Amino acid sequence: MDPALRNKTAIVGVGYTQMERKSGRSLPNVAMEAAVNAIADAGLTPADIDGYAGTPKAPNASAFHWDGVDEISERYMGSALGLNLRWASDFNRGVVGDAVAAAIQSLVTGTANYVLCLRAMYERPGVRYAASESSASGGPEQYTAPYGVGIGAMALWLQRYMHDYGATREELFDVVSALREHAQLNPYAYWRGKPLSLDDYLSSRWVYEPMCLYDYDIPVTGAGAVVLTTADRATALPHKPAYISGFVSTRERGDAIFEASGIGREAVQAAQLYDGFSPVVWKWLEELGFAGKGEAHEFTRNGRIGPGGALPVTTFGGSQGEGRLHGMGHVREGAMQVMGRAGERQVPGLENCLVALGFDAVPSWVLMLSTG
Amino acid sequence: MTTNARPIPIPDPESQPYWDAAARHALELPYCDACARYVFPPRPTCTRCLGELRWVAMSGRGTVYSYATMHESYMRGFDPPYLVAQVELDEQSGLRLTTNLIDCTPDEASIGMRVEVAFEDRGDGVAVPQFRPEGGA
Repeated sequence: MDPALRNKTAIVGVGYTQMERKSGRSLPNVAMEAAVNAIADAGLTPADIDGYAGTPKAPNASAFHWDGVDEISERYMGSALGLNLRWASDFNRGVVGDAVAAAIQSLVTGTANYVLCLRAMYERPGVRYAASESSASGGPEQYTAPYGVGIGAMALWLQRYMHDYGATREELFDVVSALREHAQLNPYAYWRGKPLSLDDYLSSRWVYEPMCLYDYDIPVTGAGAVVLTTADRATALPHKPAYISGFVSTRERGDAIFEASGIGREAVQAAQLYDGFSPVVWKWLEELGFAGKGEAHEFTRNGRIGPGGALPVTTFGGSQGEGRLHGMGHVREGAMQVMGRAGERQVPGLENCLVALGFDAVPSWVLMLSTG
Repeated sequence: MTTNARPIPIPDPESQPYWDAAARHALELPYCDACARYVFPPRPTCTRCLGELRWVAMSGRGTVYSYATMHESYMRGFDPPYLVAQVELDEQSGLRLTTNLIDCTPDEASIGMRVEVAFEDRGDGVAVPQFRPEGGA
């Protein structure tokens, strides 16, 4: 990223729904609630929104891929909200980084002035989310599906990491526990009011051993949305803007975000790290240089990433504690922390919050949000 | 075939020789003579020099790089628990296949364990390479 683009754009509104499981609400119903809330929160009306960047993909094995049923497109949302869009795109990778980056790029190039980004997820009643009835698989899955490998890659990574660095499941619970504790402070979180003990964790059922049920994020029906605009327009809106100080692709090396934003690692006061699988938090801490290689399992000990810790990580509970919005929760929370609107979760005096989206199997983007 | 048969691969032009070899119970991978390097998964040309690839018979021996035990029945035809593994082939560092470990219990599996290829027939002339402890039956 060209340093000239620091703080040229900002998140100015956020919207979200309660995260529920098999709630009976439709996907368009939750999508509209989040979108309408985000636009209103920004002090705007749908008539102001002239750009849209969506992330419609339902990545689960049992998905239909039907627009307005388990996926929702820019055409659907543009029509449902009555938007007059100058620009709109949907991005095929499930994690929301591509849409947020495209929104930023559209703003700095003058393609659009107010962009809505949405992620909505639907858990279809009566269907096992991750189950596959497929009898034949092509593409990359021809090398995995015949072996009964669905969501197993992270378990293979974890087994090797534990072997190489002596990490333990008790240490992985430090991550899961921190996310669950953060979720207790988030009124929208699925797991709010439901703490998790080490015994609960160690006695829960295996999925891909050495990963258990609580090492995976929680599929939900729910949605999140943010509105972005240019810095000059942002100052006229109701909330203190959450400026985009930097945005870099995960194809770049881990310290690129600090150079791009001019905000060093030591100045980061909270990090929203993608947590679709609990070991991803360790991978991100090492990739970003907060911990040395093979040392993240030690870094996360003693509540260091939990509420009140030295580096609070994923302060809304993440995909594990709040619900699986594929990074939109992370973007929304990063913005709310910078805006000073995170309520009980607010990290005192926070000026800089890093947001890291995706993981090695799903390349995405890293953002630095700041008070500017 | 029964309705709960295990999934079979759908070959594409790049992978067809891989699955054709598997059907004959042979493990073959594309190899670049110029770079002295195997390419997997198969690509149209060498991923380093973009030169021609030819299919080469492998020893079928390797070591377990990592493994995991699946305890849920997400995939049709698989009764948990079963072992999934990445096997690093002897021919090249970092050359790994995702596969099943068979003839081996989860307690017996370990990283670094020596394994050899074995083929599971899935009917209709389709077979898939799996791995079992070296020197097994």
